[in-house]
Order: sequence, then C-alpha cells, then structure tokens
Amino acid sequence: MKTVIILFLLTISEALSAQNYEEAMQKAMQAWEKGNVETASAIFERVAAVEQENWIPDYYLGLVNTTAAFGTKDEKVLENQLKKAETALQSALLKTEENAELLVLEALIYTVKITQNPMTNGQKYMPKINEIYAKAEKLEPKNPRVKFEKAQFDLGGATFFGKDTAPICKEIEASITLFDEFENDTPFYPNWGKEQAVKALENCKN
Amino acid sequence: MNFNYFFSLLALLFIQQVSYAQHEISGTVTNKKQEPIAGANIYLKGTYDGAISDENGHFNFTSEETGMHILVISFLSFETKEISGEITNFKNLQVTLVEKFDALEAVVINAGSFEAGTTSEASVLKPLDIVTTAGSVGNIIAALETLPGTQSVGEDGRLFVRGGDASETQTFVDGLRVAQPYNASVRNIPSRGRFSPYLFKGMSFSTGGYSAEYGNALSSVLVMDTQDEAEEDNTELSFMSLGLGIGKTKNWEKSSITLNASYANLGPYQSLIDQNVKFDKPFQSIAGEAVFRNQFKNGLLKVYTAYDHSAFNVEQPINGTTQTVDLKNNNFYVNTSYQHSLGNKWHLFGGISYGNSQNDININAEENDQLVDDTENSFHVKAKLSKRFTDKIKLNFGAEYFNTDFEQSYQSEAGNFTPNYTSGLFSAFTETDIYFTQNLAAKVGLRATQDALLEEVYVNPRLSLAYKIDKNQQISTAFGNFRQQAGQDYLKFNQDLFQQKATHYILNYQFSKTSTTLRAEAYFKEYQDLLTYTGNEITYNSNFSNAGSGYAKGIDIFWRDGHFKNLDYWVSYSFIDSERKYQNYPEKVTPNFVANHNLSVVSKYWIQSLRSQAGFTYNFNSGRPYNNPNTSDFMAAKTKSYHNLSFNWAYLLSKQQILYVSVSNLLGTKNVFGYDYSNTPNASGNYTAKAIRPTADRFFFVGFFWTISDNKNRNQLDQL
Repeated sequence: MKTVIILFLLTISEALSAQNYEEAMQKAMQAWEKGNVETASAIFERVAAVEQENWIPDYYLGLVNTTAAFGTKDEKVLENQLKKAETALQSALLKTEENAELLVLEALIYTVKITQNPMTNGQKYMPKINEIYAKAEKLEPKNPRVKFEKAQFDLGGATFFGKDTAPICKEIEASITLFDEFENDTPFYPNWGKEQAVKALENCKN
Repeated sequence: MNFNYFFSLLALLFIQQVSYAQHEISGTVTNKKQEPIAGANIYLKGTYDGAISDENGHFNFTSEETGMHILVISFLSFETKEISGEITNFKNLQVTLVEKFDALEAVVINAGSFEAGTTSEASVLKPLDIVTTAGSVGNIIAALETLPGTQSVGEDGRLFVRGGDASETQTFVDGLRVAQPYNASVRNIPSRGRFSPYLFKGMSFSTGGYSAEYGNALSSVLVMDTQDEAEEDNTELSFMSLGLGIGKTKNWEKSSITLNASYANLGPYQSLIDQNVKFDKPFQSIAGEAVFRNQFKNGLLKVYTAYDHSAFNVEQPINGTTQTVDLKNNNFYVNTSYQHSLGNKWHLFGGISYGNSQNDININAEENDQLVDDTENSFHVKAKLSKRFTDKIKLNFGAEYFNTDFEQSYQSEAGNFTPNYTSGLFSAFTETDIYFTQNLAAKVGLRATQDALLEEVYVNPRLSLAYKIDKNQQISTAFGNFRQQAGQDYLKFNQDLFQQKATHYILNYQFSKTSTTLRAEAYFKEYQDLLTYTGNEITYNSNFSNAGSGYAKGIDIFWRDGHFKNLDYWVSYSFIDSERKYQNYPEKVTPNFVANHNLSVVSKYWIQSLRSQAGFTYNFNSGRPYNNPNTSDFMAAKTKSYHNLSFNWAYLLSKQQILYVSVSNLLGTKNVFGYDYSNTPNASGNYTAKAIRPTADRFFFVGFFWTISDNKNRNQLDQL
C-alpha cells in the first residue's frame, strides 16, 4: 500500500511538472508569436535549464535567436543572438544525438553569418552548409524542414547566379508533401515551415 | 495506512500551495559601474518561474514556490550569479553582475605578430585574402609582403623581415619546421612559396618578439596550420595560363583527405611576353600535396606531405660575362602531428617532420664550368605539453630536436670538393601566459638550445606584456633574445661558427573596432655575432668568423578598414633604418635588400551586378643600395624607387566556376633591383654595369577554376 501511494504521489508530481513544462513552453511560444523575442528566448532558456534530458527547449532557444538574427542590424545584438544560438545548439547536442532538426538549426546559424557578411563569410561557410544539409538528408530523408531549408538555400545561390530555379521549385513542392506527411508525437517537436514553403512556392510561380 | 492519511497529505500539499501562493520576487540588475543591465534572465533554479530585466535593470515576477530557493541571474558575457535564500526574502534585490573572463574579449599578446584566418580580432588577413590579393597569384609569400615589416625583394622572392635577410625567417607547418619552404631557384630569379593557400586554415606571421616555442630564427617565424577538417567532397580543376591543376577532397566518418597536383610550364607565357632574362628551357614543375586527418575520441592526427620537381635553364649575366645555369630540384616533405586532450585541461602535441631536397645544378661559363649536386635531409621532432590551470594561467612546455644532414659534390676546373656537415640542435622551451586581469597579460618564456656542433648551450629569454586600454585599444611590448645557427653556405666549410644573435625590443599599439584595424609598431633590433667571410664569395678557403654586427629600427603601420560597402582595403607602411656588417662587407652599411620606405595598398571591390571581385595592389619602395665599384664608397649608390600597380579580376560564372585574370605592373614601370658589375675594369678603367631587372616587366595570368561537388543530390552539371 505504501508503495502504491508513493507511486501515486510521484505520478502526481510528474503530472504537475509536465503541465508546468507545457505551460512554460506555451508561454514562450506565445511571446514568440507576438514578436517578443527576448521574453521567448528567456523562457526557453529557463525551461532548458530545468529539462536536463530534453533537447527541445534548447532547440527553440537556438531557433528563436537565429530567426531573429536574420533581421538584426545592430552588430552587438547580432553577436549576442548568434552566441546564444550557438550555445543552445551545443547544449542540445549534449542532451541528444545529432538529428536533422538540429542540423537544420546549425545550417541556419551559418546562413545568418553569410547574409550578414557575404563577402568574408560566403566562401567560408557555403561548403559547410552544403555538407550539413547533405548529412541531414542522409539522416532523415523524409524531414520536410531539411528539404525545404536546403531548397531555400540553393534558391538563393541560383537566383544570385541567374540559374534556372525550376528544379529547386520542384524540391519546394516536394517538401510541402513531406510537411503534410510529417508526424511526431513528442510534444513541441519542431513542426514549422509549411507556411513558409507554401509562400516560397507561390513566389516560385510568379 | 489508510486513505485518511493520504487525503490529509494531499490536503496539506494543497493548503500549502494556496496559503503561500504568489510570492513576489523583484530587484534590479546592474554591472559594476551601477549601469542597469537589460535583458538579464532571472529565475528560480529548478522551476520555470522567472522574468527578464527591463531597460532600467528592474525585474519583477511572482511564484507559487515556497521555502528555500536559489535565484539565478544570468546574462551573456557576465558571470552567472546564484543567490540562495528564503523565497520571501527575494524582494528589492540589488544584483551586481561581474563580467566574465572571456578569452575572445581579453587583451591579446600580439606585439610583433600578425594572425591570419583565426577568429580573433588580431586576425588581419583571411586565407582567402591571399588568393584574391592582386599581384600575389596564389603565392602566400607575395601576399605576406603586403604586410608592414616586410621588404619586397623582387629578384629574390623570399621573405625579408625588418632588416633581416631571407635566411632569418623560419617556416613551420602544424608546428613543425619546413626546411625548404621556397621553390629552388638561382640568383636573381625569384622563388615562390611551395604551399597552396587553400590547404591552410590560418597562419600567424611574426615579425619579431615571437614565442619561445619557436627558435633558430633571427628575425621572423611564419606558422601555418593545415585545416582540421575538410570541406565537402569535391573535385577541383584548374586551367591556367601557366599550367594545370587538379584537387580532390574526400571525407569519411572520422577522417578526410585532400589532395592536389599541378603541372606548371612558363614556356607559353615566356614566348608571348618579352623577357628580360633569356630562358633556354622554361621553368617547369610538377608538384603534389596531400593532407590526411583522422579524428580520434580525444585526439586529432594530421599528416601533410608535399613533393615537387622543378627544372629550368637560364642565361644570366654575372661579373660582366654570361653564364648558363641549368637547375633541377627534387623536394619531398612530410610531417605528421598528433594532438591529444589528456583531460583535466592537459593537452599533448607531438610531431615529426622530414624534408629531403636535392639540387642538380650545371653552370656553363666562359671561364669555369661547374657541376654542383647537393642533398639536404632535415628532421624535426617535437613534443609539447600545455596545461590551462585556470582561465587566467596557461603553461606550455616542450622539447624539440632539429637535425640537418647536408652533402655536396662540387666539380670545377679548380678541383673537386665534397663539403658536408651534420648538425643537431636540441632545444627545450617553457612559456607561461598569465592574465592578471582581463586587461593586463604577460607571456614569459625561456628557450635553451644545445648546439651539437659547438657543444654549447644558449639560453634565450622572451617576454611580452599587453595592456588593454579600453574596448578598442591596447598596447603591448615584447622583448627577446633570438639565436640562429650558421647557414648552409657557411657550415659546409666551417663547423666552428657560433650561433648568430638578435635582440628584439618592440612596442605595439592597436586600435580595432569591428571592421577597422590600426596597428602601429616601433621596434629596435640589435644583431651580434653575424657571420663574415673573406674574398669575393664564399669558398672553402675563405676565412670565416662571427665578427659581424648590425641593427635595425623602424616603425610599421597597418590600417585596414571595411566601412565602405563592398570595398575592402588595407594600407601598410614601413620605415626602416638598418645597417650591418656581415658577409664580406668591408664596413657597416645598409644592406642591398633594405629600402627605407615601403608602402603597400591593397584593395578589393565586390561588384554585385557583375558577380565579380576586382582588386588593385600598389607596391612602392624607395631606392635600395647597391655597390658601385667605380666609386670608393662601399654600397653607397641607390637604385631608383620601385613601383608596381597590379590588377586582378575574379568573375564567378557560377557557384562552382571562377574565371580569374591578373596583370602585374599595369603601368609598365621599368623597375631596377640593383646592378651587376664586371669583375675587372674595361680598357678605360671602368667596371661595366648590367641592371638586375624583373624577369619580365609584366606578368599576366589567366585561370579558370572549377569545383565539382561530389554531392550526388545536387547535380551542378544540370545547372550549367
């Protein structure tokens, strides 16, 4: 009987904490949606500090800072965002094996560096990014974000060099199918990108 | 146990939560100067409750937690602070955060040295800069000559640093010596660096005051590191006006290999462009390099190897007559290094390098035919341990052994000689980096060398200090004693010569801000025990001694600025005053390789609409001394000043294809490096002169570089 109660109590506390995790993540997501990057980043950071075996909060901490960095003009802020994103990625990799989602995040961090300083970083990181996407594709061929982000990256190159973008648009189209098929039951598992893909495909057709 | 107990327990839990709900936690976060820190993350450890500080550093949040807790205040680049206490006491807290000791932000000990390709702010040149600097044509040495402190000596091509001659620079790859870093050449035909810049991730070029880890160099060390990891799998093809090249990169799970091979032939170029020198057989070379890397759990193994064979035949004026020189050279170099993390912040480095160079030289002259064959075998073994005791103290120590075995066979009408020597240098070094604060650091080193030929031990101290004035400025100083054994030309005839000595004093100021760097460095260098000989040139019957001495002093200025969109440029200026008595100089004079004023301006402009990078490089140096035997003053005449404006254009046809065009000396300036005088006066009693000029006034280069990715998922060929 004693054990039953203890087990029961344990379940309750587990449930309480899970609810808390969900609430906190939810709160961060809402802040992010409202464009409140700093708050979202801070909450993800707090959650990541508690969740010693869950890479997802770190992933979002990295993602929120990386996506924000694309639009950052201030050099100091940019440096901080990149530093946060890189630290988060490292922290996530301590908690889990390398996976496609984390590889996409890594590629995005390098992409920020290229967009912010194409002259010095272009040649330096372009091969690196190609390598990361190739690795991610091998790891999870059906991951829609890998397919889409890789296509986006190739699209940038093709537009720059005035090459035909039709084959890349086909890849984007294929990624949309993958987005529809993608399933993962883990709460808060990365699930973004379809909207961007649909938009990118529209741009392709224009 | 009954259910009542259980319910009461639950109730208790519930009541506790309700009754102690909503504790307010509040306070202000500032730095040491009481300035508010915005954006700090404040939270109760182990919970999700927290907030971020606002513009005034204020934070405020509520929590339903009770009892003892730890409040965490964290902000990037600051030490994270933890306050433990009763939750009810976390009200109106005044939190002061202390800046983290950050190696990247800390003062950099950099008097004398230029970093290239590292991420630190001290980095002034990126590897790519070497390839895209107009006039360098992929030659690492030519790109380094756009840095202050160097002298560009056009007829030699090697690195001359701060009043020192080319033999005073020692080159290292992955910490190990490269005995023959330059292509073999003969007098007045410039040589090139042997290395392909693409294989190196970074380099550190020191013009003085360098670390105790490096020795047997009087003036300068060039330290290059091969890349730790390869880029994606690919094949690289190059088609150049001077030859062909192929490269291949292949990655495996833990290891990778990068190979390149090239064939160069200057024949077509020499037949198109007027040459100042007559080549009977154009310069030809076949060369290959390979880098293999293997990652272990806590270690990294790297093997770098290079081979080249080069040959040419040239007619050259000497002492008033003409001789033909035929040269064939074989050069092989291999170096293996291993780095290992031993844990507890101990780090081990071990490596070995071997170089074999063979020259086959035939000289046909009116008076004296000479056949010279020589072979040099050089070994370097090194082991180093480093330990980081704290963030602020780092110790480095190790030992190394240089071994050189040289043998020559010399045949001429004067007789046959086989000069040879074997030398061994055993050295031990230790060095400590101490950061007293983030703004004040010192590097203290000691190097002891035992010279086997002399049975003598030399002890050389090195000391550097650096102080960071503010975020953007720092000053540093360096002092050191440097020794170098006598060169091959001397040792093959006399093995009792002391090591030569130089003492460096350096004061450096650096201003750096995001894309702007200003460096100004003043130095004084004193030479002692320089080598001298008697007679017109070094022969077996010259009298040798260590009676020479000299000095060099000057100011080097470097400015690089990236403020203009798409334009990158740097300016180097050096002023030097140097005199020395060495070789067979009758008195102390400014040597013929020193020009008092040197200026380089390098610019690169990215034209987005043309997907091109255009670049100009301008080199200027004031006249260099030469000896005119028609006057009684030794080395008192001066050449006119040197000008060279080079241009290059790189056009990106696609992500994988680059078309590259480069022209040196656009303005066609007739540069003169010096004069070669006849040995005997003519009928009217004058020594006749022949100008030493560049092999050609202009140099053209056209190349097409094509990278084919092996990534099967993306077919580049489809995109063409």
